[in-house]
Amino acid sequence: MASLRTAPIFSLRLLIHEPARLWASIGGVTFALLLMLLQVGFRNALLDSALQLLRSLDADIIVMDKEKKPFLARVGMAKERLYQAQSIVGVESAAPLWLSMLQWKNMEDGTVHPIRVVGLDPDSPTFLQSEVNALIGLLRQPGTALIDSRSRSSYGYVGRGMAQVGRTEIEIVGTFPLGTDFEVDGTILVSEETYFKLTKYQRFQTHKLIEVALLKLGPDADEEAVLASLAHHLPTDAVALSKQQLIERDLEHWKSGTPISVILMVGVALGFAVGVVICYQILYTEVLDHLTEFATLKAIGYSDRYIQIAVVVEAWVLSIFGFLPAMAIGWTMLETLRQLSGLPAGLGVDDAVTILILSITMCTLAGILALRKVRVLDPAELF
Amino acid sequence: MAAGDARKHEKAIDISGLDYAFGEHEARKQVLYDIELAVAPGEFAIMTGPSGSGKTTLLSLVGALRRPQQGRIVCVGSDLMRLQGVELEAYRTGLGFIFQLHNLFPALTAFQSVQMAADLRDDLPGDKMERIASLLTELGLGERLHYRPSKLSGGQRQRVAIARALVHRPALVLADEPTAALDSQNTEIVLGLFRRLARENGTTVLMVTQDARVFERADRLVNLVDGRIDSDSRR
Ligand SMILES: Nc1ncnc2c1ncn2[C@@H]1O[C@H](COP(=O)(O)OP(=O)(O)O)[C@@H](O)[C@H]1O
Ligand SMILES: [Mg+2]
Repeated sequence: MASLRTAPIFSLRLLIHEPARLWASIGGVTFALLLMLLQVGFRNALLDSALQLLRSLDADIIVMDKEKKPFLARVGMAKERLYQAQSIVGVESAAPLWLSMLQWKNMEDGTVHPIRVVGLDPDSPTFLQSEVNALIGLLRQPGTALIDSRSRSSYGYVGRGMAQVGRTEIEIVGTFPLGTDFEVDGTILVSEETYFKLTKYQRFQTHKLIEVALLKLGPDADEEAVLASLAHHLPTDAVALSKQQLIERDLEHWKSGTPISVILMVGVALGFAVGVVICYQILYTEVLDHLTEFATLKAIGYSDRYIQIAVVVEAWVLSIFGFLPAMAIGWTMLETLRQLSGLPAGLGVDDAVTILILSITMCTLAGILALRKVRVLDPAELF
Repeated sequence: MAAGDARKHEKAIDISGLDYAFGEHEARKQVLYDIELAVAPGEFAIMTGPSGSGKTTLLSLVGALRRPQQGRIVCVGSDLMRLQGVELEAYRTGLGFIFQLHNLFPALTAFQSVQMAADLRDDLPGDKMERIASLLTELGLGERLHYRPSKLSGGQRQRVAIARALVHRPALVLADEPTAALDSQNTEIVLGLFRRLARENGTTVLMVTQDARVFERADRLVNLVDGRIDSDSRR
């Protein structure tokens, strides 16, 4: 039996022998991986940005209208549900939250841009960010707001001072970090009183409605039991979910329920297909150019397996050396995008691992396709 | 195993009633007719004949690169009518092929090319690296061990291919016009190597050549004409 041990070295020698071709091949793989990486990055941006408001809320359980889905969709709920939830054993506190969308006026150029307005009770814990909690007392003064310091530059100046939201003048008294999403360029936090002052021109806004109720549990409370009790006692127009459940439900919604997410997945699939084609072209040419030599190897007793391993190792080398620059370029591009747009378009370690696995799979697949040619090689044609 | 000392078999090549045709049906073209040929271990046989007479085809049948339609062909103990898979690979490893074209990998140095053949065999005595270097040196390539084909002349490439075919001391060497690209001095060296392998290892050599100068060096001279053995003389 021919030894297979030397196949990887043999394969490396073939690759290194033609540096120009090697660089071009690595470039091709890098390009395909970059396509996938950017799609994954955009998808992360979509998922992370859509969830960041929910994630930053200080709540164990959230009560909301049963039609409200995802969390950013605005569906009001009777304020009574807040008091009903508060009376359940194990619930320590319940805070209301209002959610609306208004236009922010850029004072520098006069343009207007959508802004999310979050109404809250300055005396109840609502946000996890220490920046918010340090300044929340200021909101008791009617007509004041805190603004997201990561708002997009379309807002113009973002900081303390007078501002116009909708038709109303308000005073910005501080900033907190949150981030933009696909719907708005930023967020302001206001008290209940200011909230209704800002939204009085909007239809359906009434003091009888809140958006959600944020529940905090007592130290000994059992979350499961409280959830069950809420489900039992609340009218059927409301649902109670733990924050974690709601995050998972929203993730699922954004991953599979939205056209944009599907489009981005198609983008990844497309990048993969492009990658397989590029890799196939590279490896097929490689095999074709060495056909007589491979046939010679077969004639002197090397197995098909040896040649297969050599080609697949070539594929792996390409996939790994294409991955590294793709990662570097992709990360830089997404970081730039993040700084320009405020979208959290990052790449996690899990994404890097996914892309690496996709890269290896892509190149292996291409290698196997390219090898069909070797299987039918007839060493008899050599003499 | 076909490898190792070839003298343990009574005949190195044993062919009888062998027919071979390319193509099928209307395209069928018979090129070998009723070949009878027996070569003893250690024998140095030269096959000659006009172009198109079927010499290369016969060589590829002995090398198990093709399978004949008809007849009996047993070489160094293996029945080539039946050989398959791993046994086929093992049979080929026991041979030394020298093709009309050298077919060297452009990416591999002379040394690495020869090593590819040596790596196929774990049972070679002595130090493998030394053996490769000394064989190439013997073939006048001592200064060019680490040159790639692009830096070698036609004759030098051919000698690398010859070293690749001989490094593992095959039981049977099949050579198709191996000296065509060589000058008389290098031809002498190659013939000397064949002879020594035959003497030391019992290697059988079946060599196709048109070069009348080397006929006298062979033990056997087989003349093939139009797919038939026209004459077969021991010298
Ligand atoms: N692959 C092939 N397909 C069809 N005919 C072939 C093939 N190879 C060789 N032949 C024919 O077989 C005959 C013998 O060829 P070959 O064995 O190469 O002769 P030689 O080596 O003696 O010159 C020639 O007529 C040649 O045209
Ligand atoms: Mg010929």
